[in-house]
Amino acid sequence: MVELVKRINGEVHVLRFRQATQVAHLFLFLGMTICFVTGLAMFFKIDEVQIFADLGKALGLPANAPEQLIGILHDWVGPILMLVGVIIALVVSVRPSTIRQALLTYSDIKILIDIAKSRFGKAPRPKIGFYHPLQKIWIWTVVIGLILLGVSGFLIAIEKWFMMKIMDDVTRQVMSLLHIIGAFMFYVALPIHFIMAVAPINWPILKSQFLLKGYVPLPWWKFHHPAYVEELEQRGAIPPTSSSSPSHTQRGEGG
Amino acid sequence: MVRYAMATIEDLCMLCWACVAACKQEFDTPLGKWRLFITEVYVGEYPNIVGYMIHLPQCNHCENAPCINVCPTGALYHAEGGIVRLDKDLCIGCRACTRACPYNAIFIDPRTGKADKCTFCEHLIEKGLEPACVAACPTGARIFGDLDDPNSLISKLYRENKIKPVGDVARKVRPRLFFAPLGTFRPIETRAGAFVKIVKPKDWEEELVDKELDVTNWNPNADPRLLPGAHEEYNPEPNVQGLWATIRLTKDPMVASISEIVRDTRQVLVRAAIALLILLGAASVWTSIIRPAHS
Repeated sequence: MVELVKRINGEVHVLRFRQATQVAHLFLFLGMTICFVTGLAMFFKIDEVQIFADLGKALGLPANAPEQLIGILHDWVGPILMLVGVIIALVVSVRPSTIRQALLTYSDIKILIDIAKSRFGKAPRPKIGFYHPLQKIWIWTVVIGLILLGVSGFLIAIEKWFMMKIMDDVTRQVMSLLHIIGAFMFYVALPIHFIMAVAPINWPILKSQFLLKGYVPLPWWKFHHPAYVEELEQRGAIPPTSSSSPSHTQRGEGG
Repeated sequence: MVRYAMATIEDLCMLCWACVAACKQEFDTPLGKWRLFITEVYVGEYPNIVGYMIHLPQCNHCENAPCINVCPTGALYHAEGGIVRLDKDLCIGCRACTRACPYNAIFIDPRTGKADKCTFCEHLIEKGLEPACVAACPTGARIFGDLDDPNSLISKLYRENKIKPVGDVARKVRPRLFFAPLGTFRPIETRAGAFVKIVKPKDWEEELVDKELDVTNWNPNADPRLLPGAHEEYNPEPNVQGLWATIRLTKDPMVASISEIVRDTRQVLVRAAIALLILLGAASVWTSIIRPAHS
């Protein structure tokens, strides 16, 4: 049984990533980054202008066969790493309670509006639970994008690499369209995720993920997700404090 | 409006293969793959062998191109002058075009896993030069020009009905690659060595058009004898359409419209992605770094 709360160096830490989640995330991070980078040149093309035309050279790829290498990375290496991550997540990490926590509800919209108001000083900062509403939107964007990319990409890659004809012309075109839509979702969602992850205010959670600690200090939770801290207090997981949400008077929503 | 077209006067061809060599050199096409080839057909029994030739496979730059209709990513499209352009950045190597082309003109480049084909040497035309195969032909058998220019040679030959596209399928796909078959301008009677080669205009018509002899049953891009390497696995499927075979309507409204939708949607989504990245990226930097909620 994984401990929800742990004392590390005398400081209370609350679980954010279970070990399986961390491993799944590392696989997804590697796979998605590979597909993301190798797909840049294919996606970002405005009319005849290819924004990432010389990316291969910049990355030091061999000049005589970069497309073959990119094809292998984009069609096989990246997807397999992602598949491993998804399998680990589905089998070990994701639970019904996790999905319930990530479901978008009407109250999330209200919280979003309140957050916007608080940023302009017109309302106190609302209490945020385990997931920020924007995190929930991000999660479902990535899940839908992953399904679109996975299904369409699998069929396209099979036809390409095994010289098979398993789709009729219309289906192939629709799959291509779905792949582009999925790519669009990823190309918007992942850079935002990277920016938020490397922001100094989120370093505790970044260290928790990449140093495979899994636990984040309680003060960070109190600042960023006070409603979750209150929930833990009600459940008796942590002792109640006099002011569990000191950030309510501050502006901004954090990570 | 410019309408580029190419023609081959087979009477003038002396089978030196300079056009094929120039094409390979210009584009560095891989071993065993050809953007342009010369198909020779010999009919009859020794010593009465009648030979024909035709400069195929080569992209015919069809006005109603089946490859453009089936391309799932919009990588194939009509560029200026009616040239069927292949955008390799968008090609996913699915082989839909290699199957759809009735002329076997498209192959998969084993080095990239993507399609490749004749471009009418667009890069040379832009500079006012002739395509490599035309420039290399020592006898002037290859002609290139604008069909809409009344003074161009190709336009004159076309109006005089001296050149024509190949195959019944041409009625549907309307190619821009024309041929003046052997014997169009003069009867040929050659007695060279042990062979007797007699070609009359009527022979050509009968053998290649009326009798539906399908020269594209053989595809140089799929023949392992021309592929002395280990690239057989990259061969496209042998052409299943054939020049004279009955094929489906190439302008399938559904397939063609989806192809356009994919291309337009891609452009919209790329622009939207860039706009959203700028907007959301700025908002993320602002909310997490410039004015963070907490320190």
